[in-house]
Amino acid sequence: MVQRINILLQLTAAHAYLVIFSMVFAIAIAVVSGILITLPSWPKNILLRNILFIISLFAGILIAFIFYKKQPISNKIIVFMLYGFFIGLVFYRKVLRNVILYIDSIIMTIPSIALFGLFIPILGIGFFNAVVALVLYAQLPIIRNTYAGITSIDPAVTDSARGMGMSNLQIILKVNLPIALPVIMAGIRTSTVMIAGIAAIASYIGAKSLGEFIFRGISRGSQNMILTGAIWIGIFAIITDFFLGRVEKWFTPKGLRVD
Amino acid sequence: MIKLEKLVKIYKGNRNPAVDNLSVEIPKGKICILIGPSGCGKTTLLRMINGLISPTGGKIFINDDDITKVDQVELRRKMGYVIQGTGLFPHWTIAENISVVPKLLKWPKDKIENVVNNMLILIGLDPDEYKNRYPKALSGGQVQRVGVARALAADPPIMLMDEPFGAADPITRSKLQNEFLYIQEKIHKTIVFVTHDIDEAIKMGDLIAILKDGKLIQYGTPDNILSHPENEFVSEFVGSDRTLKRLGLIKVRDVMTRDVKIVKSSDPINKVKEMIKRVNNNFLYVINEKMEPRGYVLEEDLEKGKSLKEIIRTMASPVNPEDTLKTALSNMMALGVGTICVVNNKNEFIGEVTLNVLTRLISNSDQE
Ligand SMILES: Nc1ncnc2c1ncn2[C@@H]1O[C@H](COP(=O)(O)OP(=O)(O)OP(=O)(O)O)[C@@H](O)[C@H]1O
Ligand SMILES: [Mg+2]
Repeated sequence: MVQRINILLQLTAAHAYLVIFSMVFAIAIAVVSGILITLPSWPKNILLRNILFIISLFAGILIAFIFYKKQPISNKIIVFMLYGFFIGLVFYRKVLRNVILYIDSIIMTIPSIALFGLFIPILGIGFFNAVVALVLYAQLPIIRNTYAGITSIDPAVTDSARGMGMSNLQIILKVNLPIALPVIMAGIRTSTVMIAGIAAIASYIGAKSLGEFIFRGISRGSQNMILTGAIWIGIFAIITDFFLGRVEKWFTPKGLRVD
Repeated sequence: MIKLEKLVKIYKGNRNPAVDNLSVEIPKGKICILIGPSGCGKTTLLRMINGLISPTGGKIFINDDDITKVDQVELRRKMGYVIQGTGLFPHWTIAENISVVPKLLKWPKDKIENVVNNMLILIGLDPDEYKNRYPKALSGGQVQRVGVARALAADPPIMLMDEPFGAADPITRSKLQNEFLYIQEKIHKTIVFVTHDIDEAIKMGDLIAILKDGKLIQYGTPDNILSHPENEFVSEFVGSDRTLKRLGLIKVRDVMTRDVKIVKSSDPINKVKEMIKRVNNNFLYVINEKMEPRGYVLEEDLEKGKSLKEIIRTMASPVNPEDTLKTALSNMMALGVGTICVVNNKNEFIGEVTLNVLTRLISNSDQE
């Protein structure tokens, strides 16, 4: 019994670590690309735009090299290049804005277990592969909400910001982001809760998470273990949701609160 | 000075230009009103002057500088822009909203605080009460006033105002207009002011530009536009009561008669009879010891009573030299009399305005 509780606690820690690790990347990537696709024409210079695109392509390859230093990486590069390509698309958003959102929603419709299955032959098993899959999964609600949050701001507000002489960066940081923050936070909350559940499946490809508890239960034929694992994952998601709800409220600027 | 030269704006995908070959010169320190039906390109014009959108053709000069050749951000900070629909920042307090441009210009803190207080007082909102509120906690009219304060805060030489008082009730609106004219008299900014309201245009404008479908139909002083509408569209636009509206442009001081014979209420009745024979009127104004007008006496009444007090009649309520002829006429009509006396701010009698003068004035200039 004590041993099982011990295992449960260890796996909870691993699970939380996996979720947080994935979310940090997902949030960073998704918020930035969400902001980028709302900008009508940045960077203005086409050459600079192409350079940024190539950088994001190679950033993918670079990450692949860093993550898999000791393994043969030929297939993995392709995945990361594709990912870099995908992120790089934001620099051509005028044409491809909808394509980006579309690709992202296709990813969302792939069942998570299938996605992990897809990744095993290409990436192999392990923590980072799980992270890659989770980040792909987590980013859609955040990109969506960042995009929706910023584009739904009253145009008179952004106009007056520009009309009064704020620079583009000032408009993003001082006006767009704070006003869209509650919506972005809602996206982050949704996607974190989702990932908190999906992370359980990551046990399949060898990333330690609470799913392992259930899988052990299945292989040992212990209903108790399966049930405990399942309920505990549920509780974990609910706690995450409650906690992020608090954070969301805390992040909402006073002038935007409904009371 | 703002100079627009053959300005054209065609929005992508639209067939008709929003602004069509428009040339206007707005002198320094003047208020220029842009007026015209909805969709005639007023906002588009302001957005081009501010550099928010670039013209399809033509040029914009500000103090002889082509605006495409100067730094846009710098340019905008020297231009107060009151946007249609106000666009206050919902996540900032009123004080933070007003101090946006001063902060961008990196003014010292205490100076900014001062400006915020002064601006709030100027627009008639108690600083202590409103400073820390958020825009959502203000009424529509108050939001607009804060919008004006925000644009004025950094004391820009140029103001672009897109229907700044549109949401205010008529009384507040008139108060804001007066306040604004009063300020303008002291600060002499170059102002481009958009409105739908022809009365507001006549009251506020040094110059009025009437637009239709992006074209400039007529550009001139309010009096010029009221007395000589260029075509049917303009005369319809300014209204069939344009002749009456012109009265709102002329001040009493410009037409009043100053050397008017008057009698004191203490004067003996015989002296009054003598006086009334000498003027070619059949009445005289009566004043008291403090020079305040009390009413008037008619020649025909002089036989009826023994003292002036018994036969004095009620007069139309007096006007000030700074009032318009519209007020004067309205006061006369209220009592059905053909004359009104003018008093200074100590309520002392200084002259009169008669209906004859008004009719002559208007019919004369109409025939010019
Ligand atoms: N961003 C835009 N894209 C395309 N067409 C536009 C755009 N903005 C305005 N227009 C069109 O240009 C014309 C002029 O619009 P504008 O906003 O300047 O009118 P306005 O005179 O300010 O009207 P209102 O008095 O209703 O504010 C309109 O026909 C409008 O439909
Ligand atoms: Mg408009």
